[in-house]
Amino acid sequence: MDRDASIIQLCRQGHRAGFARLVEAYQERVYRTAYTFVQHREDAQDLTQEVFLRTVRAIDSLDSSRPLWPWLRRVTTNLALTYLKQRKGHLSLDELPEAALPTSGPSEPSWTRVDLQRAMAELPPLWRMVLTLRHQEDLTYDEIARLLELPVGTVKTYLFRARRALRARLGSEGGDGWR
Amino acid sequence: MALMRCDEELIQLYVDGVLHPAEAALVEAHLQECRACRRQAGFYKSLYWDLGRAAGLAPEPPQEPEALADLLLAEHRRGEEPEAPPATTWDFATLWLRANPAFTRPARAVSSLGHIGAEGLRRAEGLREGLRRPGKWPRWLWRKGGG
Repeated sequence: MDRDASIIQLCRQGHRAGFARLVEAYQERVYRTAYTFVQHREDAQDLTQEVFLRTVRAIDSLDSSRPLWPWLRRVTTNLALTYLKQRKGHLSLDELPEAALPTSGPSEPSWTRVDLQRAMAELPPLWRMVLTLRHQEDLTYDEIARLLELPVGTVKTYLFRARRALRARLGSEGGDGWR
Repeated sequence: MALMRCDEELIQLYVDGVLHPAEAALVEAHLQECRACRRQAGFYKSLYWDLGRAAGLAPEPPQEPEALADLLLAEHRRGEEPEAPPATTWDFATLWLRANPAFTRPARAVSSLGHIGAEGLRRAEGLREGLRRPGKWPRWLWRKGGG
């Protein structure tokens, strides 16, 4: 029995070890994904807790022969989308704010972790989500479209704009290389 | 002879490895001729590589794993508890309260309950008196029951 099947089985039987292993295996991944999406520590923590609560409520209906992460990723993504849509006073989900535009043209690629983190945070949330799902989660364009309930063409457009925005931002800032 | 014009989106897609082989061949031919696009392709290759490792840029989860596991266990146990069965036995007081919704709003001042509320209170007093002395029904109940 693999790890996820064992976790699901233990959780169904109400063993504390099951929940402890579930958290141990996925808390960090869920939190980091949620944080990447919403860019806010406390909200990412709330989302993480809700993701796990929903998983526990649905534990009897989960297919123990399949890995848990796609389920957790889907719940995380859906909750983050709902959160972003409800967040008061938030800017558009898919437009780049004026302040995030670079002031000069691109130069040789050279940036630091902080540069990349800052540039990612400045992206419109939906752009950041498709970028994360493509490059961190390695989902295909079709899979991203299904997950976010967007047309594939829109996913491609967001990816193109997000990457171009990062090139403009990171290329213009320079730095002393990836650390 | 140039096979295609500079196209940043095609460069992105090429580096992402999602182009059809025929399109990829066109882009490769273009890259051999175009220095600007080669630089772009180099940039995107580095960017994709770093984005793939960008999860490490997020902070550590602040919540204690033990606390979260306890919360999940409690949620699981809560979900397994059978729901409380609906009340099937009714006494007179409960039936009366259900029939007099005005009386079930304690936040409202008695004076604001109007005639119905005041009547309900009067009846409640009578009912209480009747229950205190078994065998002796309040007069209003006796009148109604007796026609």
